Amino acid sequence: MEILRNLYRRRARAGLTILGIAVGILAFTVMGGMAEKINLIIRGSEAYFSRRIAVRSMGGPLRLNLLMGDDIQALAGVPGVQWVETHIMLPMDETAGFELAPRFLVGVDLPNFLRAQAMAGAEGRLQLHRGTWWQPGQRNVAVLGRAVARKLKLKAGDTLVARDARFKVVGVLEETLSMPDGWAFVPQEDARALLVKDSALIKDLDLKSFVTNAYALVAPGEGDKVTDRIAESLRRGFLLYSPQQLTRAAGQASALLTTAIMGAGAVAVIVGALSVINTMFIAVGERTREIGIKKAIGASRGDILAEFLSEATVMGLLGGLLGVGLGAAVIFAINWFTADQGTPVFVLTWRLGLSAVGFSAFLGAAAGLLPAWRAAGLDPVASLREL
Amino acid sequence: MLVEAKHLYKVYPMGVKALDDVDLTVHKGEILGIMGRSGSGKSTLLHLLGCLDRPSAGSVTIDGVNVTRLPDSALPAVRLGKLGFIFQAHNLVRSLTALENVALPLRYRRPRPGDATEKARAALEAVGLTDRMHHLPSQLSGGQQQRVAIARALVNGPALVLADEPTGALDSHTARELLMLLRGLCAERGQTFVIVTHDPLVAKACDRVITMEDGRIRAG
Repeated sequence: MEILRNLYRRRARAGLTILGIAVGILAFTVMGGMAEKINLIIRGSEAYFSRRIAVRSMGGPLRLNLLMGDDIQALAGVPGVQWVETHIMLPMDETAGFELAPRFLVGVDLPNFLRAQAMAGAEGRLQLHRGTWWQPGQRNVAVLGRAVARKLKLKAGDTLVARDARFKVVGVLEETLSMPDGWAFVPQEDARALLVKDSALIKDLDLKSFVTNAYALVAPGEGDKVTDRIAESLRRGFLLYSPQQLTRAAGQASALLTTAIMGAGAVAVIVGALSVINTMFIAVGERTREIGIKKAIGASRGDILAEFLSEATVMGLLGGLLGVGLGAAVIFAINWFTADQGTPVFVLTWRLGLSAVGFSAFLGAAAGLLPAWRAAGLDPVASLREL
Repeated sequence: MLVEAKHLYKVYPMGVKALDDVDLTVHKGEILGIMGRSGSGKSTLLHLLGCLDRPSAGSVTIDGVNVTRLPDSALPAVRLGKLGFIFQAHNLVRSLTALENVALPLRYRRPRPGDATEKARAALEAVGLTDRMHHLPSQLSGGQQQRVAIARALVNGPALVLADEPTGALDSHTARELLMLLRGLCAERGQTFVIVTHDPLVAKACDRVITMEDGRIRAG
């Protein structure tokens, strides 16, 4: 109570100080929200790719970057490869600019795809939010990633128009906050037909059983070993990404990004904390006589130290709560305005909110340390002479 | 004998002698007045008796404890347990109500007494301020503020209450009322007071008065 009354007594100054911290925490929260989103994407991709070796052709027939039937067979024959999932991926809209979740048509062979899904761990599996997968043999149907459904405002029963083709939407996937959110799964024959239609060369070559991407599924932890084996077995001209490689790269990228983003936010908060130091020094100056009286009636150094420290901590805490509140509002607003992107730009997690408030209270306490130390060390006789 | 000060010296840097070989005894249950012009050393003496400052030489014994031998870290406990303070004015913590101000010394006790509020309430009752308990100092008159300060000085049951010009900021009518209150407390509880003053009205209310001049006691 005394703390709040002391803050209220000099409410203009305390308010401005708290606002200073709040602005810092606001920046910290919003930037942290961005880092959390990026981490989610990275973690989502990590889970998805944890047992997959991604294989891309860098050459193939006439450098068309295609994987042919015999390539897939060679891949499946490598010891340690449990299954090969094949995709034909093509951009949904070739004129689209930068997108948070780039949209692709992903042609899958349903039995091949569902088998791979069944083998993937719970974290790497795509869950249906609404509707069902199509029946084997059905054509011109689609299951949409969440971002695609949101951005194009489509639900099960609607029609997806992409690359001049029409697909009946039969299902929508749960949000993964990673790449599949931007994918529309369609029967592989449809995707192949679209690719053939748009490429005179493929048409002329009369290619039949090709795909653009393949994933070799392996047992957990086998990634690096099997990748080496695949490299030896396949002909030249393939890019291989082992899960471990991806995890390492993703971990580094995520750590670097988090450090950079949170660091920038932290600088903003530290600037706020500096104003706590200033405010607390002024408070110690103003309350010198009060400190003298308290010491005279028996307060120890520790009592005075604790009093001023808690006041600074409360300022940090209030600033933190206000900052996270404002940050949440900003994040909500930005996400609302960019909702047509299909995926949120910022993610405010409990972890981020609580750590922002905790960080703020801690910095408040740290900033209060020096002024509180000065207050605790004041000479009672000299303090009592102050009026 | 409650307080015994022997051969007290206080010399400030630059060689200013604030106390020059002072011997003083305070008996239990008496009101001792210390008079003297400003600069005579009476406030310095009060600070030494109150363990707020240390003598350059000599010793102070309060309630059987030689406080000059105690380390700095032990002095807050002595002030808390054995002493009460009343200052001239601006005695109270501005952000605390009358009741909270009186309870403040109890808050510094370890372990903190569970009945702090009850004790503070009783102390306020003893100075006749039950109806102003929840007022902030700014909502109280000067006389009322001093009564709160007296209640706070008494709440821990101190052996000795030290007062530095307690009526200095009050008009003579209010000052008289306050002195009657102090006398009453002295008679009722046998409370010992040492009061620094240059108000003859206060001196008249004391059992014994000493006068200081140039750091020495002139008359006892």
